[in-house]
Amino acid sequence: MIFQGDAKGPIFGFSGSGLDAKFQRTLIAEGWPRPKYDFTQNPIDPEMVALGRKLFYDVRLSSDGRVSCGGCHSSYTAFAHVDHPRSHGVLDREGRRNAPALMNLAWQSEFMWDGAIKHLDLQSLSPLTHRTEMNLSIDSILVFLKNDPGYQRAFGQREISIPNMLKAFAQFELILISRGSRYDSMKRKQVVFNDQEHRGYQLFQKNCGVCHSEPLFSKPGTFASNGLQMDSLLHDKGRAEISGKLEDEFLFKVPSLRNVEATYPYMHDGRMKTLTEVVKYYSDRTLLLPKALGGGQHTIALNSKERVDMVAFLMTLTDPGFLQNPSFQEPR
Amino acid sequence: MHLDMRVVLSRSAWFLLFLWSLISGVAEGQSAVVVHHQVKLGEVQVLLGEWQKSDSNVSVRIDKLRWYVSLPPAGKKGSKAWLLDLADSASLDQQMSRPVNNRISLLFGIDSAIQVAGVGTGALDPLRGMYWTWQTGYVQWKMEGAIRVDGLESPLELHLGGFDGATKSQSMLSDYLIYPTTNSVIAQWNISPFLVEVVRRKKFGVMSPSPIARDYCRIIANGVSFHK
Repeated sequence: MIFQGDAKGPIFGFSGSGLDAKFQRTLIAEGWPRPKYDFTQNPIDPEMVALGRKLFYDVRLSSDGRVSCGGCHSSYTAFAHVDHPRSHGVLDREGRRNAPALMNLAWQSEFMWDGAIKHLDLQSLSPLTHRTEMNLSIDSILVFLKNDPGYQRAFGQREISIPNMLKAFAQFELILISRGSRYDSMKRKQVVFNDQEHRGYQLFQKNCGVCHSEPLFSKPGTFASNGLQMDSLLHDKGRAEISGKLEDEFLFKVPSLRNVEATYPYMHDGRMKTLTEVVKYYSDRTLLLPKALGGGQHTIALNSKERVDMVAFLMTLTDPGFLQNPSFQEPR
Repeated sequence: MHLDMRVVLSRSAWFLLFLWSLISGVAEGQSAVVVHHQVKLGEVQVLLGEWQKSDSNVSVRIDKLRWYVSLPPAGKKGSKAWLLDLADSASLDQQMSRPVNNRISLLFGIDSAIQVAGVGTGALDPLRGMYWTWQTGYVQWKMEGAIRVDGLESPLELHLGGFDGATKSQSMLSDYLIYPTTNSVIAQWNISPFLVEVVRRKKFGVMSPSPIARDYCRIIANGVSFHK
């Protein structure tokens, strides 16, 4: 069963427009904002989801036939890349950043660490064609899909085209909804946090919530600096490389902390290996908030005991049902 | 109602319907306008793959030239954008509905609302090679070839575009009023002033949205004029 969630009736004001009813219900939960994705342009369809899943795990969609999207975005780690600080693609070419986790993408409108992509439907073009990732041309992808009997079947009555391929990718990614953590159970009053988790939660709200806001534990559309020094080798200037603005230098997208226990290593370049290391980094730090978050300074101060409590809370954001959902794994 | 009367009325209705369909058919035929796009170096037609003088000390060879025009404001995805390709003469005849006020008003590039609206089809299909895959947005002017300045040859690779903030490269072309009886108009793209600027800046390679790309696009747009 892919679809699960709280049933509260139709949203968006377009009930009956083709959006799969079960999926529509999964988009609704108390305290959650409305999704940003416009489902009227790409209504969820189980066949398209299945096609997207097939594409996502197909290593043939790379120039050396060894790299799929799933190679860097493992379902067991919330679709993050955990084996190296920076993700690598065809011919072991190494990129500049750690592949981010994929979940709750319907609530986001900007993708990649620098927000280069502004629509989920078009996101997959980037890794498919990037020289260090999958290194294919759009034309060659289309030729491959048209000539492959498996894809001829998977596309069914639909035209085998790049727009349909992109929409299928998006559909598979849209169903990756994580909302089944211990934290979520606590919010639904199904469990009660223990004392340590509760203390950690309070510390989190006070110190981290300004950027990693509930319930998504991120701030979609916001780019911020966490004070990390620029990597002397990579010279990654983050958001500024897209916007061209000086004030955007070293700003990166605020990632979601859901399933953060599973998405190591941390930071845009994977320079930190453990949650303890991350929390310690932040525990005595004054950050400059971007204008989008009100500007000004934000000081975090945590002693060693509080750091342990904080990590205990972060562990409550793990969603085992999401990490182990067979519907998200490579099709057998 | 008397039966004969009903037959007469019914026949009249069918006749009126027939007449209306004839009239609307004619009107529909008249409602189309073709904009013939031409690319020129001053008075000279640009020829793909040929070295052509653009100034006393400058020659240019254009191997590829593709660009977008669209209708403002933002229309539905793919429905109001045209990809023009110098290698495809049919694409240079832009078929469009007659503007309501007979005023042709075209945008050079793709409206930002369309750029962020998701995957496009037709002229906006990423397969057309005009989509920046590494970031959101369409290349609005893709010119490739070579340029010789004072005998020194350099590759020419100008992928221009951008729709956000300081890189916003779209611009409205000057309005052109057409006669109600006219069905076609010529849009001349004189790229000489643009090449003068390229040579002045010595910036022969632009591959991403930037203030330079924006400036180049504005100069290209300024070089467009409409003619009968």
